[in-house]
Amino acid sequence: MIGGLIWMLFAAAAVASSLLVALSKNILHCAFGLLAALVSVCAMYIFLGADFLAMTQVVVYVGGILVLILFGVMMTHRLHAHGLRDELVQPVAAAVAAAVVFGLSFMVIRSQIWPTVELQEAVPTTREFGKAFLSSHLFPFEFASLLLLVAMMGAALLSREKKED
Amino acid sequence: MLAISLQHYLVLAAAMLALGLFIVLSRRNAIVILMGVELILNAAALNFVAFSRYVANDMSGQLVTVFIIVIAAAEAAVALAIVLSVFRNFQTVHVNQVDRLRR
Amino acid sequence: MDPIIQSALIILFLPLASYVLTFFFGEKLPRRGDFIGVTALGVCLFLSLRIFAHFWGINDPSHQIEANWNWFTIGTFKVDVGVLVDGMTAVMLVVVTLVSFLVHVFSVGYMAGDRRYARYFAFLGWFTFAMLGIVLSNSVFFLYIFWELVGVASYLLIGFFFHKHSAADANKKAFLTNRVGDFGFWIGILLFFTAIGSFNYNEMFDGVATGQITGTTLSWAGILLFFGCIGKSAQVPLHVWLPDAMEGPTPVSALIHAATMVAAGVYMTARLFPLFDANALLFIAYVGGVTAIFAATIAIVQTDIKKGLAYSTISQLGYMVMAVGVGGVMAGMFHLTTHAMFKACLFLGSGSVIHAMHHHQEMSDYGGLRHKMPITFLTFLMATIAISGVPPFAGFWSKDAVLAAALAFGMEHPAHYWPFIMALLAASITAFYMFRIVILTFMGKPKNQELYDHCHENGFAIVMPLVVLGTLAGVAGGNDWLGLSWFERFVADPGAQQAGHVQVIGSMPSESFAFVAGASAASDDPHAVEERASDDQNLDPAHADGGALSHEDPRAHGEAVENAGGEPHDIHHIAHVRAMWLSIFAAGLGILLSFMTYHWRKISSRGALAALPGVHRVLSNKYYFDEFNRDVVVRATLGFAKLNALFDQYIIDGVVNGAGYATVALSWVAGMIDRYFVDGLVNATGELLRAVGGVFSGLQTGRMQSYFLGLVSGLVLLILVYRVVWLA
Repeated sequence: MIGGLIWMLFAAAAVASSLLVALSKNILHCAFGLLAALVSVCAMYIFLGADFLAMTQVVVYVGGILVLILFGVMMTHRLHAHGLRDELVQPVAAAVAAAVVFGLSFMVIRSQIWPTVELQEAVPTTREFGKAFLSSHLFPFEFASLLLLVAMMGAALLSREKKED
Repeated sequence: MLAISLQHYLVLAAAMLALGLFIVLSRRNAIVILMGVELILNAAALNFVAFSRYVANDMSGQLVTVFIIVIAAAEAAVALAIVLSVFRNFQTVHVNQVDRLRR
Repeated sequence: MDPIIQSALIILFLPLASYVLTFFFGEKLPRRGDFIGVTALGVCLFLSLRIFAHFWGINDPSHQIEANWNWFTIGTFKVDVGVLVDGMTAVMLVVVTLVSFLVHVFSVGYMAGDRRYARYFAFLGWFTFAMLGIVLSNSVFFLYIFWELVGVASYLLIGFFFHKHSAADANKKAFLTNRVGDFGFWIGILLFFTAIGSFNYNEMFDGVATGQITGTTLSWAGILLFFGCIGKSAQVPLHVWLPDAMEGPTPVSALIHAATMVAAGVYMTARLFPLFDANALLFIAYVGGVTAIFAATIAIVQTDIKKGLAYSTISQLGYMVMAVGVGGVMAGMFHLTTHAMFKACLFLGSGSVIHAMHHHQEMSDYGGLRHKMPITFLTFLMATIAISGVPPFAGFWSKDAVLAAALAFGMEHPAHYWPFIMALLAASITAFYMFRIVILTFMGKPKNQELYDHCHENGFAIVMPLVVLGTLAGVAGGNDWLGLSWFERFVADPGAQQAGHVQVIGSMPSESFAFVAGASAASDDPHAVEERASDDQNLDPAHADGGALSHEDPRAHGEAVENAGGEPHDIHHIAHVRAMWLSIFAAGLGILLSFMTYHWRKISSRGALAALPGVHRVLSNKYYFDEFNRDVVVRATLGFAKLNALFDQYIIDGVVNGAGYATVALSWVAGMIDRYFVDGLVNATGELLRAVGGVFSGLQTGRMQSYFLGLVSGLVLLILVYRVVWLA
């Protein structure tokens, strides 16, 4: 019961922070909202017993991606006449679309009889991940590293200063 | 109600998805749109993990989630590089001002 | 071909040849070609005299020779050309060729040195040809054609000195005035043609006799025919051209405007006599009478010698016309003949004077010329005595015949004594003014000493014709008292009108031989000739008996005639005697008054002038005829023409222009329709497509977020549709 309440708390935090991202006029507020959302999702992961995933989420998503986003914000706002200000365009249409999508999804979720199973005890998953990465999910693992390499190269190329040619 | 079921997680994920969609559709700043995309990705990842725990009862969903995170990282890097490029060429990060493909 | 016809054709065409040769080659020939005309006319005269002798021998006025050729036929419309020769023709041939010949000779002297000498003779030839055509024609069609041709000759010759404005105006006036008359003439001809179907004289006479045209139509047709005579023979009111025609050279005045052309009207009236019914003839008689006295009064106040003679001519023409109108065809033609002689003599005499006086024509420059120009004086005097009607000169006999006929007419129709009265008065006035001219010109003291000193009698060319004509003026009348009258051999008065169809006021005076219009003369064979002779023709040349004219011979035949004997016979005899005495008295009175006024100065002409200034003014202005024509007639015509022009300009052109404007307006409307409606449709379609395209191209915002929104919406839609369809 307490667990449920705390879950609700984190869920609300996730939604609230997402709302902050959506509606804030200040880009940095949006960034920190994202931060809160990501941390909330991490909490969700923990509730779901995915401990390795939760850590990965914090380290990669928050520590990497979010920081990168912040870098982006910092680099692009300076010449912006409005500074850190951002406004909404076509809010109504977007809201309607989002609402419709949520509504549809909600209807689908509620109308389904999900084949849930008995909840097991949560176990540490790190060892399983390691085993999986090197056996059954070797190919995606390697391919993912290749992807990261390519992405890194591409990003570096794209963001190069065009001085020659 | 307080017994957290799969549906709770799914609804939460749907909500985040909707909000992320909202952000993508309605924000001017490209970086913020990127944040929205991240939110959508997170929602999807959460879905996978929830299903992994409540239905599949193994790690399959979590493994997918790892890769989602990896891809999200790569994509964020590339996206930001693009944003920087656009910023250099158009002197703006407002996506509604990047409309050279207008009629 | 009958030798007479042959001669007639030679006589006709020789002057034409003279015209052609002289016109084209005259200037290059020696003497500038005048001998061509003189020779040609000499030959014509010779041949005419031969024909004259022939008819003298035949001594039958009803004898005619006709030759007819078909010119063309269109369906039932047939036009023939032919020649008719009878006693009247024979006399006219001599008159025309004689006077023309003498005028040719006279012109050699008179026109010597003129710049267009050859052309002058050419025109004389042309005129003679046309005049002979009138005389010889056997159909009104060709009569009309030659009628117009003499009009052309008159135009050319009056306007011979065309550089003078007065001459140029005069020839136009002559031609136009003639045209007015000819207009009526032609309508009259057409009326006859419509009723009878032929232009030939004899066929027309038959047509009238058999009643193909009657009543009012006949009267009007006759009067309209006579209009031609009014124009050509200068009767009132179309006389106005003749005094102005004196602008032409004097020999021309003698030939054309005295002796021959103006007489053509009389000839025509006499020739076509059977076509006139009693009403038409009455009209003719009064027109003639009025003209006679009218012109005579104007002649009194003329100071130009030629103008005086011109009015005298008009007056004498009135005499002749009147004579024919009262039925005295013989008298009218006889007077025509004698008038030709003495009037030509008078004109040529005046030409001689003018030539000697360096072309001064006003009698105020003359006086006492008998001493310097004796031959001219003598011949002029003889002609004057003749015209005044003093026996035994020619004019007396013819005037006597005219007056007798008029008096007889008056006696038979007591309401119509006027022609006689007018004629008698005119006779007296004629004598008066003619002697006035003689006295002012030849007698008394010279009024212009310088001219008088330089003048002299003219040469042979001028004097010879004067002598010939003067002599003829004396003897050409024959002498009835001595049994030497000759004219009835050639021309006779018509018998009583053919019974019935003509409304006769009274019986026409019947004279010697009945004028027979017998069977049709025309045949369609070329060169067909018929000799018309009365049945019991007496070819005795000695038939011309002495004694009064009115003896009857019961030679009536054909359908004619209610003959002679008894009462009509007596009237004519009585009338003749009375008229004779009256005319002698009138002539004597006139001569006496003339001498008293102008020579012995017993009566003062100045005094008369002072006493009657108004009268003098009216006479000097010729009764204001020219002014009337100019102000009323011409202005009315011009006004009418202007009305027509306005009609044409505003109404007809208005219609045309209106049609144009309407078309333009219509096309403007069409243009508007095209521009706004049709183009509007087309443009609207284009606009519609553009708008639609615009709307759709609005989808291409270039903004990623719009596309994405679309994507999401589409996806949602698909899901919804899928759900609905699947669930349904």
